[in-house]
Amino acid sequence: MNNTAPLEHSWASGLTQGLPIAAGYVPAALGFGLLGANSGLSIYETALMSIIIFSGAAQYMAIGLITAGAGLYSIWISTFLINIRHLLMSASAKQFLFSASKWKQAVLAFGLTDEVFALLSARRNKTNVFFGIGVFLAAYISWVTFSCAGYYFGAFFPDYLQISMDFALYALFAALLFPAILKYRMALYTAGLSAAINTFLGTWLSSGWAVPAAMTASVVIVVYVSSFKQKKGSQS
Amino acid sequence: MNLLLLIIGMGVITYVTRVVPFFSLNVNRLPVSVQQALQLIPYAALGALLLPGALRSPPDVWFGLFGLCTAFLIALIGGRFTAIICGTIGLLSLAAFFIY
Repeated sequence: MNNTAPLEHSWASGLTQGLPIAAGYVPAALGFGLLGANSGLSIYETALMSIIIFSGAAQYMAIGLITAGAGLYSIWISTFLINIRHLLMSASAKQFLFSASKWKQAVLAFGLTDEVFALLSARRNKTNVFFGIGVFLAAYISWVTFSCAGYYFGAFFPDYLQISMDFALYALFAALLFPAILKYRMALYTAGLSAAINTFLGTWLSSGWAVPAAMTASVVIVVYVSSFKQKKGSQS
Repeated sequence: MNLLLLIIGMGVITYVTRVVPFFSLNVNRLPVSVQQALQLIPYAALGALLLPGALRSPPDVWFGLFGLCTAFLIALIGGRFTAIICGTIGLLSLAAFFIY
């Protein structure tokens, strides 16, 4: 790698460009730390989740499932299901990061959250693996730091802030989902059906199994119905 | 439950989904219906995670409904990830400050 790479390709520039993501992670991470403390996790467990997993959706889901009394396997399965989207994101990221060495790709892959991926693919022609690692570090430092801060200081927040922080998890899910359902009708159908099935199943199944069951059923139904419609359309 | 084992397992599973496509998986070679299902799974996950949980979040159903509507409106006027989270939490804090 030559040292005269243009500034927008450096990891330092990635750190700067990653600041909006770092800012967006602040309330979600504070909320996660507070939730960890309120759910009886130790600071080590809360911090380790943010350090090792680095996936807001999976971490929030896991704490919800732990408090609901779900078992190890159902939480692992749910983690896999909720993270399947990363298979597609990484497959897409590979297209514009192919020139980097494999081990650098492997480092960046750890930090490819939804937001990091979205930023990198928006500037796919002006990006490289160093820039990507800079963005990842900005997001990662914010996520880990404010998870710990939320654990220690969340209890000192005034009541009205604690109440709204409790909702940070759903704000995070909504922030990932709503822009997509406004753009893709299929995303709207799938999310709506999955929410309805989950509400229905949740009345007698534990949420550890209702969530993966609702996800699988809704996807199968939407894919089946759309393939049926396409066949019908091509015949007429 | 062994929380350390849970966390390490979750970390491995998450990393595998992020790193495997760089090395082997060629998504373009999978059948179209499988590709379509893979694309839809994240939305199914988020739909099930959002409801009914968001409406059962304390203190009451109206608070959750207000939060969801705020997030949706911010998305509707073109707000993205950061704007939706910060805007929703900000407005909910205001609401909680005055009402609860």
